[in-house]
Amino acid sequence: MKAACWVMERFGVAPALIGDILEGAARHSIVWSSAQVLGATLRTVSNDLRQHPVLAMRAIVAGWALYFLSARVQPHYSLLNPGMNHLWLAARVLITFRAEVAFGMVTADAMIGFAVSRCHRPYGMAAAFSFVMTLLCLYSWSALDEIPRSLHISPYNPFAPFVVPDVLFLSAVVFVFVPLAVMAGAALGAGRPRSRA
Amino acid sequence: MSREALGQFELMVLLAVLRTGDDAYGVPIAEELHEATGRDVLLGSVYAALDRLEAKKLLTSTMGDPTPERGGRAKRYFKITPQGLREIRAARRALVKLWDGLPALQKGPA
Repeated sequence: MKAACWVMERFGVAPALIGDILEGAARHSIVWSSAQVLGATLRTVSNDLRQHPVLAMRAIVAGWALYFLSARVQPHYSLLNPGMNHLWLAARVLITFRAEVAFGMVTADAMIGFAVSRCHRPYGMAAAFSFVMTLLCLYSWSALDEIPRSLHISPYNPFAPFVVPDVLFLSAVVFVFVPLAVMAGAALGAGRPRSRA
Repeated sequence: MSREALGQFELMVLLAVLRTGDDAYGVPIAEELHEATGRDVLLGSVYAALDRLEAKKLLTSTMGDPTPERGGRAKRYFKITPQGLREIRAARRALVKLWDGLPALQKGPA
């Protein structure tokens, strides 16, 4: 529960509510505790975003500005795209190369999360969350288009069946590691917000 | 009743606060709701309802002393205001009025 408390504190969950969850956790299952932690966190984020819509918009704009800036700094960004220009690379080199690019992406996203959260304290986590939601929307939208196209066998993409691991890898990076990295960076940037209730 | 009517969950929370008496903080209120409904309730939802009720001045809250089993965090105690009591009575009157004279609800389990 220590980690859960740490996360809830960063999200600005009311200390009395954290205390109640801790007290209840001693008598209930881990499933109950997890549901309470998730519920309290999401409730706090939604309250913050409802009460500070301008702040949320500013966080989204700032997040995207930093995102495009980081994409400019990382010229290898597009090489993660499955079925694209890295097919000529030998398997071992490719794995190392992809890992490096993924590490670069995740580090850059953590830094974006840190900066967005730092600039929007004491609502840093809610601000970073709003940016992550727009990021996930864009990724989902592009995945709808990109994944079927990558898997489709054509004269331009003759290795389509071999692209499946690439698609899985890319999906894991953009839908799991990137959001987690942004939120982890945001948690570090948010610090321990002052009590709000 | 005031112009802003009480929601069902808010009414249940108010009643749970009333039933819990002097020891009305998050955990006993949630347990009271669990006993009444048979379902687990999210403490976050209970707190959201309590905050709304406090904003409507139907409840007041005070902070207690920090305790070690709560990681050094204080309890937040809630108490119903006279206006809150009036709202509960008004809600009850309205529900009973709507309930009365409905043949479909006269027999069978509650």
